[in-house]
Amino acid sequence: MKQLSLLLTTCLLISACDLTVSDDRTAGEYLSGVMDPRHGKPGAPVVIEYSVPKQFQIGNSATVELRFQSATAAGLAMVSLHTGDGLNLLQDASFEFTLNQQQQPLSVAIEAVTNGRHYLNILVREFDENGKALLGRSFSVPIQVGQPQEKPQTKQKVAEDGERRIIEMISK
Amino acid sequence: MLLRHRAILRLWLVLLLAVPASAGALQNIAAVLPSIICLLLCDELPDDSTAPALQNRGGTTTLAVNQAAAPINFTNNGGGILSDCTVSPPLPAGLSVSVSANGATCRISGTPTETVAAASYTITATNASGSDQATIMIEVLAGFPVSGRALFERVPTRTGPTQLDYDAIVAMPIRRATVQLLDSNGAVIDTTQSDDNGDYAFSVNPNQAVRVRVLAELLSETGPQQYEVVVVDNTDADSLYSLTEGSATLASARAVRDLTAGSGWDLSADAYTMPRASAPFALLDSVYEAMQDFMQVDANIDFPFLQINWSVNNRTTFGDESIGEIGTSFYSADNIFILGAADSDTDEFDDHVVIHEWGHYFEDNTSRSDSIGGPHGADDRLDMRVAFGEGFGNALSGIITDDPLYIDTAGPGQAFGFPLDVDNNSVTNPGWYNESSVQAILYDLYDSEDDGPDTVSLGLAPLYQILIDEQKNTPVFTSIFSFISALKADNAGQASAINQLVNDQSINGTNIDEQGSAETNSAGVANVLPIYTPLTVDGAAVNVCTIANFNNGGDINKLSNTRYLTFTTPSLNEYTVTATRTSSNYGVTDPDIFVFEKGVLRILSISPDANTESATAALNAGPHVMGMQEFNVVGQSGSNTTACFDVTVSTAP
Repeated sequence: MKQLSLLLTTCLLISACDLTVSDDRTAGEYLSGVMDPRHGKPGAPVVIEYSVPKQFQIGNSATVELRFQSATAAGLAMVSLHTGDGLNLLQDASFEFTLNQQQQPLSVAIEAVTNGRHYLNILVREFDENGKALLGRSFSVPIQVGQPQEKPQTKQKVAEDGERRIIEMISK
Repeated sequence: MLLRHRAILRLWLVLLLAVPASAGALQNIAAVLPSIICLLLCDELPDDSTAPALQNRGGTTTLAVNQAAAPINFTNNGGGILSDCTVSPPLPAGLSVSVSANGATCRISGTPTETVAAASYTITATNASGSDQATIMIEVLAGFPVSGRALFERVPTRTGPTQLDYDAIVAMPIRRATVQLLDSNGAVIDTTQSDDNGDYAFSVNPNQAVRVRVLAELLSETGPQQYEVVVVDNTDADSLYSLTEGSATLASARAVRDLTAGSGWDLSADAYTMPRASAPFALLDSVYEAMQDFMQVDANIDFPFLQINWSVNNRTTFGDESIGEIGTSFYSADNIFILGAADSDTDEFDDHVVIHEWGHYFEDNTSRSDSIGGPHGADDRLDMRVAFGEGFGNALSGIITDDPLYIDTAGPGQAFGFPLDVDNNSVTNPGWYNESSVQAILYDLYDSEDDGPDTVSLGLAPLYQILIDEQKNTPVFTSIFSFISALKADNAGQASAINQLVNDQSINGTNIDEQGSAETNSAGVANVLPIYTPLTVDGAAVNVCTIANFNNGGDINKLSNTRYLTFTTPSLNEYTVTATRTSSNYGVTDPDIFVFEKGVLRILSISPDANTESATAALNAGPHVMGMQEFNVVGQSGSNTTACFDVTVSTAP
């Protein structure tokens, strides 16, 4: 662990680089991770731990376990959940918890609609004790439905003529 | 003599060939040669029994120097075969008039070799039955002008509620972008740059099929103020975004070619249903705005290469960046990554977010930042290096846009979000360790509005001067102390007003120096002050303690996770630095040592050895700063998290 952390520490000291804290741990049929975006753009000081089924099938439902923790000492956090086309949310899309720097668990029931890599999108908004809006933060928990698709072969960054590849978008 | 039958003409041909060659005979053959050719190829024999009746050509025919002109034919309603075509006055050099191959009309062809102003030319067509004339206006330009304006659709942010405002989309110029002219095979035949209005112009062969393409690129490779910025898709092999016409069309058929990068938003569907072409150009524009402000205060500033990575797949998942799982918008090593997943979190139109990240790039390349990065929040008590770096980014976003309201939108329809007022002086946990205090001070130093303790209006230039000079070269760590002490020295007349601003954030501005020697704000806990502990080479050990009182768990960038020391080496020599645990209330410690000389890392000693750390290295003569960090604080938080160490620096034997 010191070796990985050594790299992180070195990285930290040399430049203001990405301190991604995403530690995917596979335990049986579940995949766990930690999402800590606080090294990037400003936002609510929230970290989410998640545990999702490693994969499940169309038509089946599953439970995503979430644990929220905010560094904000007091107030209220409002959470809204939404999914893309590949998943259905099987419960209320809103949730709130008291901010007290303690972990807040939440179980989210979802249903798989189509195969693919989908995301449970989470929007957190914090308010102080007087109801004044503070900062917010968004997260996306990855959820695999069906077998993972083979990743396409990585394209070379340079085209055959030696120039950078260009994406052309047509003018209105 | 009228000849109508092939058989008869063949007989004549045989007879002519049988006649001994003479000048007269040859002339006769030449005169009827067109007829002979047509006889062999045409269904009917050519007819010069009607006089020509040429039609004038309307408008002005525009040609380009050194560009072969497509043949210009005159309509001959007379129908008769022509024997001669002449022109008056003479055509522009390189052009000529002749009878067309089928004898039916007059034709102008050739390659003009010089520019000529528009003028009228009279063509005379003649055959045995008579003659007729027609006129044509011709001009020869250096090239045929193809020009236009490149625009992108910006979706503005709004508050009340905070969101992207798709009802207020505005077309804005794509400024200083590389504009290419392509032929019908997609080969680049010319390159230019749009101006600040988005206008561009080419000069081209009017008869060539071309299309215009605008790259999401800013490029200046010569002269002062050089820069290179590209916007690429990190989920598609870092391919460069561009905006183009649908197909190549004849240059002369379409002289004015305006291009617009659409937002992709469909108001009726209340969703993105079309390509989000404007996003890369919105990013480019925000960065150009920042660069332009600095270019206006420094005529010689250069900006090193910057790559902005954006994709519709970039989302708030940590994972594989090549599929867009970038976690958040952030800066790292000359790359800015920006979120783009619709209905989750998009930042391409949140210009304050983009400029905040660009601020890290600016510090990294043009100024200096000793920030160690890591998790940070508005009310956190941070390592002072992090507090300055993050506060600077926030303040800069307000400075560049001249709008202190930092807005970040997200959620379904991008209809959610939050504002952050960087001009807000009411800060929770104010101090030299708080990014909110730093941003409030920096923004107030810049802006022209007096509010609360703010009576300073320096503008950007004085701040920039400190960033590229004293802050960049400070012998201690970059912080609000190194910045403000230098700013006051450079702007002595504003010292009192600067003090007021700084004091208002619970920082001792009145007696400030680069080391914060006179600072008394300890955040209410022990083992925070002094900010720098002096160390003597070959002297007695000094004892410093780290704490984790302000940690949130899993971080190492909070106040007093690292303690700072200063020492001066008398000569270039090898020196040994050592930290040894003397006490802790949470068990085994793992001290690490970092020694810097003016921001340059000289010693990095981060072994996993328990309770001690030591390293020997050559150091120049002069001042150095040391960071003594307790690595195991990563797993600690709250009070009762103190670890103390004896630190020495000695000349190596």
